[in-house]
Amino acid sequence: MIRQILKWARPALFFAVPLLALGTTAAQADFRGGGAVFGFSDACSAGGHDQNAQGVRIRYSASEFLGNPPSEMTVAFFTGTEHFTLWGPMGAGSDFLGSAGRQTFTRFVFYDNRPRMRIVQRNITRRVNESAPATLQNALEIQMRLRIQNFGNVSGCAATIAATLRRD
Amino acid sequence: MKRNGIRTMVASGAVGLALAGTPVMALTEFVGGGFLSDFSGACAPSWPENSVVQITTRVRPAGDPGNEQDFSTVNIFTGTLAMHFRWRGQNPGVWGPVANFSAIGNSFTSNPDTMPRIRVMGTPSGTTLGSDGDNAAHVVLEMQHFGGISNCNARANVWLHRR
Repeated sequence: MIRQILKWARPALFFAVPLLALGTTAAQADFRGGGAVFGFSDACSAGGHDQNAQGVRIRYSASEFLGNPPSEMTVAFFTGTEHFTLWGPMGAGSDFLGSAGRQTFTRFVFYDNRPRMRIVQRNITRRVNESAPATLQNALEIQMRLRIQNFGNVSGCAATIAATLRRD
Repeated sequence: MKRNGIRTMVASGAVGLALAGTPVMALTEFVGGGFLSDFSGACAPSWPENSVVQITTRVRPAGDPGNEQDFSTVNIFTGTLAMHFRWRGQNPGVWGPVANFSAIGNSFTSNPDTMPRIRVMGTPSGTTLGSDGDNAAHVVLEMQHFGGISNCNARANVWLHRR
């Protein structure tokens, strides 16, 4: 009996989950998953972000797939969402790159200070075709680690995002 | 020495020593998220085969300060469904039955006839850096009888950080 109810109920998840991300149309090649936000600098306390690590859901749209920028990343907390746009690919590197930030918690905010992000890691952990090269186009699952300055529209707030993602 | 699966991965080595100097914390808890995928067997229509379900996760590894000695707990949240697994961890690759399982969505399930089973498949490195110490882990699990559905197999892939 319970199982019958669950069978009826669970498909509802698949309507609810995509709505959390900003894009509501069927995405050609987004990566979806989640991870943790942690390593908040002291300045972050001004932004209402708990200093503790937090579990988040993440959506990443790679500019490489669409053939043109931007790359976009949505970080969904329980009570709100941060969204980052980078005019170019999110390939690993040592530079902090200027991006754009948008935030919706109790209201919509376009970041006053440009968030700067360093893509510390972007690794392919599973391929679509195991015998084909480990290109992003052949990536089924990836892991990412980013350090973001001016996180949460708080000047001087830095945080780390680490995530594991799968192509949908 | 008995090794618990999650503990081996998340908190191997001198976690007790590492914790000794940290602020007072009643429990040792890791939070993060990731996704469920690779649904196979009798999962449909509840969990369609090719779906990717975004989740957040909480793990309390067995044997860590403040936690149960022999049982790890794993919570998975999809946003509209919460699941609880209490599980005696095994070495990586070894299936272990779940001692307690509950799920609450639009109904409540607790300890169904077919209990889920879990095995740890791996801990991909690369995004867990040396500077993280024992504070972070990327964990891949496989589950049988997922959600208490007989012969439904699924995979969980999560990235966790100490809270």
